[in-house]
Amino acid sequence: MIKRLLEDIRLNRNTGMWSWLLQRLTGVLLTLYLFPHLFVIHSSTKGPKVFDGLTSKIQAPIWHLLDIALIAIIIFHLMNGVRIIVVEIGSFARAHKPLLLVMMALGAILFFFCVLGILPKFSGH
Amino acid sequence: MNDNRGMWPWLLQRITGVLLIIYIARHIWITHYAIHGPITFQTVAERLHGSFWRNFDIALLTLVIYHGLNGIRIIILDFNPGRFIQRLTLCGMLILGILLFIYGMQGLKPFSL
Repeated sequence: MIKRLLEDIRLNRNTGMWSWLLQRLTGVLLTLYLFPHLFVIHSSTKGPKVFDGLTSKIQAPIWHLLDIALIAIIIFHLMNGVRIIVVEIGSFARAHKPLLLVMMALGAILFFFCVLGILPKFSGH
Repeated sequence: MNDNRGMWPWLLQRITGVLLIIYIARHIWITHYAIHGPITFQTVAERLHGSFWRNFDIALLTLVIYHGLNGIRIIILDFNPGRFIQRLTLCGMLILGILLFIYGMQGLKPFSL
């Protein structure tokens, strides 16, 4: 099963394959992220003290780095997702490669501003 | 016309995806940028004050569970499993989705008291 997948990837090393593979990988990562995310929120049922104890831990600098990684993953999945919809409904299939380039460029700009917003958090603001 | 059963999850995956762009952008903006200082029980409770924002979070929870679990289901189906595994995946995701929704709602409840 996995072997078939790896063989398919080896035989089709092109733009569409990488964006397809990355869309799935980032999708799985984001779904997995939902579990610890809801776990933290669920700690509120044990009272404000437990919730504050947990959220203060996950606002240390190292976690802001992970936040930046999370935002990068979200932006890729979002931008590539929009590209998939545009290609499917607008019969832009022939333009899917330049479209990926455009979406990733837009995503990079979005990511830059998101990082700018997160930077002050490292000094505790 | 594609009126087979695979059409609706496909369409819903797109619709929830587009809605999630709006919801997650707003979610990240509010939790990380609009509020300065650390996130505490108090700040979250203030933010969730009023039915609009509570409903917003419930909608976000529902959309993200559907989109995420249906996405995992699509990946499993892409490996071309037999009919039994397909059914098992669908039932498993439905149960997991309901449990996640209850779990998430329990987490939201203390803030709206």
